[in-house]
Amino acid sequence: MGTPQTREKREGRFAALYNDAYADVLRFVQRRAGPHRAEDVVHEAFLVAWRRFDDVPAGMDDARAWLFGTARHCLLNDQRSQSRRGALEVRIAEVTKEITESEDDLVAFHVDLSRAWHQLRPEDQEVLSLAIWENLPSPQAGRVLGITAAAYRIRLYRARLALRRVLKHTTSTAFHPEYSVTEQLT
Amino acid sequence: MKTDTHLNALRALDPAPLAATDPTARLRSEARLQQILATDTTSGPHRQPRPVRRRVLIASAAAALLVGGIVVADVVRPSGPGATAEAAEVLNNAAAATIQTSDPVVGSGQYLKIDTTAVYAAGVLLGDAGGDRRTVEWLDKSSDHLYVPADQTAEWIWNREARIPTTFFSEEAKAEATKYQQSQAGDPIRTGELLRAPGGNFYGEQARLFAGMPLLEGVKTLPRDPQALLDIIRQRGKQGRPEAETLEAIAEALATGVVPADLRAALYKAAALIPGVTVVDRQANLDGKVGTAIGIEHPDRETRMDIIIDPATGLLIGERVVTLTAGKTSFPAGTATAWTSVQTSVVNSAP
Repeated sequence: MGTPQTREKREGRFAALYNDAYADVLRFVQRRAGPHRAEDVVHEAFLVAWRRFDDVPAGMDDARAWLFGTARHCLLNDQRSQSRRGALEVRIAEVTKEITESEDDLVAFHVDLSRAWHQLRPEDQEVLSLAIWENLPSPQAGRVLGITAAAYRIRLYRARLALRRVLKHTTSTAFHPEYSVTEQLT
Repeated sequence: MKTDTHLNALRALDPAPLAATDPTARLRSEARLQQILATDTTSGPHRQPRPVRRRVLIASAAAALLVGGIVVADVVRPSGPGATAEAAEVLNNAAAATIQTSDPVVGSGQYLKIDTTAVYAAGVLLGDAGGDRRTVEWLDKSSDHLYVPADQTAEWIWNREARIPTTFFSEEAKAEATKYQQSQAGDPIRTGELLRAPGGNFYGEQARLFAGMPLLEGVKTLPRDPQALLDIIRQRGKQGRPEAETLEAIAEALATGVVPADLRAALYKAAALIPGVTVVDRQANLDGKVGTAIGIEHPDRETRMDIIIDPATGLLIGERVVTLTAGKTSFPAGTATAWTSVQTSVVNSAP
């Protein structure tokens, strides 16, 4: 047990982390769990963070990655009762007219992308999401999945190849952007 | 990161875009923050609802018998940079006895069963954020049963019983505890649950020996040389932490109940190298068992971390955290605000 003073300090530091990271962790979970259960999972993740506050990394980026990883564990635990898969499916926005008000081609491409997304393995969806929507550099993204930055980069490379392969087979439109998989990943 | 067109297009298909955040979520999140801050926790990393962090090993009766006539041959340094001579003697004797004991043998298909009784501080935070806030605390007691398979990478089973408020130092604490207990009726952390996890990784978290050291890896790879072991334990902790937390890490490792004898002995000897570790009580009573308490004060928490050893056998009886300053918490000075004691046995089946 801490004294009231140390408890207060701890609470202050925790509240700062909570306020900084809450929206990001919520969005991370919403992408994987849908809105109905998301707030409960976020609550669970922060509860773990509070109980294990000494283990939470000090830097904000690392702390956020730690929280993502913890939230992911909570979700995986839920999922385990249904299946033994070690990866989480990631949702994608429903393509509606609001997303694009420009060319029909782009709308059609979004539809294709969305369709292709659903054909990807959850493992591929996860690494793509960490790069695109969570926008994490490789070391932090790897930490979320419990793998090294190098292993994450390899998985990301493969996921992008998979996306390209699936798109090739599902694309129904003339919108074929030039695609390169050789660029430097951070 | 240089991106390509596909990835850019995907960016626009974020299923949880920033703008879509429900405006009432903010209010709910603040309420939930207060709930979290009101839950019981302590600064120590092993005060959590996880199995392996709060185990205290009491070896089987068979193991205890084996150490009966052992002559302690360890050299005790009369003075040195570590614990007091008296504490070092107790710890080094315990180490010498430990390496002479046999760990209970868990055959194929059998389990090492670890029955734990544990007491924790719990409390609620009253008042408004930013206003006059105070905590009301009491002690919870729980017992649970962990089944560790012969192959420790296989599935562990943890039968957690309910945490029941048992010790109160005021009528208000008793009333708040009752209220809190009722409010948590749906929370398996408090009501108990039966869990299964390969390698003891319950709640999706990797089982650990102490902060920064996965359990199975630590058991296998940690050095048995006391100084090298102590160096690693210190390195894995936060820089500049008080030595009380080094002893806490050692207690946490010992308390897992799955540390083999050679590593237990090395942990005792490593504790003997920690400056400030003293003998605090020759007749310390933990859950009805009497032993020698070795402890060190934590300068910030105003607590003392103790490990309690049976001086006759070198067996670890338990661990406890004692609050030292009256009025600093709602507990009287001298209260053991957390302790664990454990009984181990080998069984043929698990739930």
